[in-house]
Amino acid sequence: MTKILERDAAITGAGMSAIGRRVNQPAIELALDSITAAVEHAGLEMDDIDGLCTNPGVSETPGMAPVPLRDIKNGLGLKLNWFSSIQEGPSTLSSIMTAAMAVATGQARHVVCHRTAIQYSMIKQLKKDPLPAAAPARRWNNWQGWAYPFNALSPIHSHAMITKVRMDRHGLTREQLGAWVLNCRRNAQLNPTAMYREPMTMDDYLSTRVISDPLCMFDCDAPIDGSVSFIVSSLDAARDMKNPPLRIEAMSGAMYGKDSWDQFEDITSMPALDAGAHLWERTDLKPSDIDVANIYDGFSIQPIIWLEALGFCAPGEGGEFVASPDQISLEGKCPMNTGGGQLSGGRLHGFGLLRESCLQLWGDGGDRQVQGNPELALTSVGGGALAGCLILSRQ
Amino acid sequence: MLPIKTDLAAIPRRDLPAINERNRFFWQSGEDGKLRFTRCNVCGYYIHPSAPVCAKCRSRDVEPAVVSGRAEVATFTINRQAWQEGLERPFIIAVVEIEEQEGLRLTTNIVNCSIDDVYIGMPVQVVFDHREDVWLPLFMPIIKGES
Repeated sequence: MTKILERDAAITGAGMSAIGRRVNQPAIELALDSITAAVEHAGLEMDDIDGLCTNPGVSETPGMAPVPLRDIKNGLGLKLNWFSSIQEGPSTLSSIMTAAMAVATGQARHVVCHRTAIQYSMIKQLKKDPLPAAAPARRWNNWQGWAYPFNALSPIHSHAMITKVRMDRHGLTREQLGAWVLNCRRNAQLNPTAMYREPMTMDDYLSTRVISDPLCMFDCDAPIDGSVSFIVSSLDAARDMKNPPLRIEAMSGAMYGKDSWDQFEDITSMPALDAGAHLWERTDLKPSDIDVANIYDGFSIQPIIWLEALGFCAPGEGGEFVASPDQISLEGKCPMNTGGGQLSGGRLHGFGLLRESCLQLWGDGGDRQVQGNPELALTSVGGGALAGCLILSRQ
Repeated sequence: MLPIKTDLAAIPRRDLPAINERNRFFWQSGEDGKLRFTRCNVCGYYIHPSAPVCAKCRSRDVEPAVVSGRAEVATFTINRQAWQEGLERPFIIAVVEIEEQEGLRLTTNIVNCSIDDVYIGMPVQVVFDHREDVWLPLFMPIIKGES
């Protein structure tokens, strides 16, 4: 019998900096703000922190990973028993998963995991000085080298193509994608820190500008500046702390298919398929046991893929599932993306979603608090070639 | 299959792949009008992106091999957004599946094809867009009697 050692780890605190498009703070300050808030929220002192982790550590994408670990370590004078900046890993959740392994093996007691991005500021800066049409061709490595020469310049293109093939094979409709988008917007209206809070109707959704068929502007999340941090503690240490520990019931970053945006074996899916299936091999729980879920929605098609991968519905039925009125709404069987998701909440690369799961389990959801004192929350993160997911259980 | 009348210039602005020793054969394959992928000499599996080892049988006996250049549109999207200066739009971005092997795919553009005519399952053939030291494999519809 496999030992499920992530159950010896718990999230004990969460913190967020100012987020949005008018933040106007250097990335390192955002990181310091969220880390300080998380440490305080956990009821710890900075000197209690003996581990530090992030993913990705650096990135070619402007504003994606602007704060190297050493700046935090040296800036705060942390004495670290363990640290890791993860470059290749199953989504940004890989920092939480790796930290869980560090505390479960006794390498550290309290690990800070931060995710800091200033993508909005960087995009704004780049737009001020656009590349002239006659400029020499830029050269690209990695996945960009396989996509950019064909002017597939945004992840939206890969996701639009997954959407297209699903419309063709499964009968997925724009109205079904719109049902997910509108649910996010309704929840965002109850979340004071969400990015987009104006009401949205299905007509608004269907009539907005198409970016790349069949995906429109409202199918895409919005780049923002901001930072979110968590404290991952050993369960032993967590028992005497300020907040009820949110133990990791199970986690997975499994990837069996090809690590690629266009070579993944099932063209209707992505590595979510592997992580989503493997997650349930590590727990006796079932999808129907989950009280609240925050599912990655950088693009509206991703939750459709994730929900099938996680077994909330059968393959090909994700569209019908999200459009069914009694499933994902705040009053539904399993409320989802209760803070507005990334589509209405802003792009914090999954850390905003994980924070929302934590807030709901701690009963700190404010006007959007899920009723019934939720105990189990599932969070999934990643699109393209990245996928990670975990279940938190309030102790 | 060259020469083929194309409208490649309809998309003037393109970035290019960084060429390295592993991918050079792929990006320069079109110099003689042929498309190549790394193939395992032991089990025949095509390996893309190229690697020095076969992911099926783990043999190191792999080398570039010519393929027919025929493919099928696996999925596509019509881009309508001006991501860069000089980007003519709309245009078709597609993932095509190469005839020789299920799951052997390329992200590419469909050219010589109206945005209203492209469909999933459309038979296409390779045509190369030569820029600097790179021959980008694009695909165009196969017209009956011409393949």
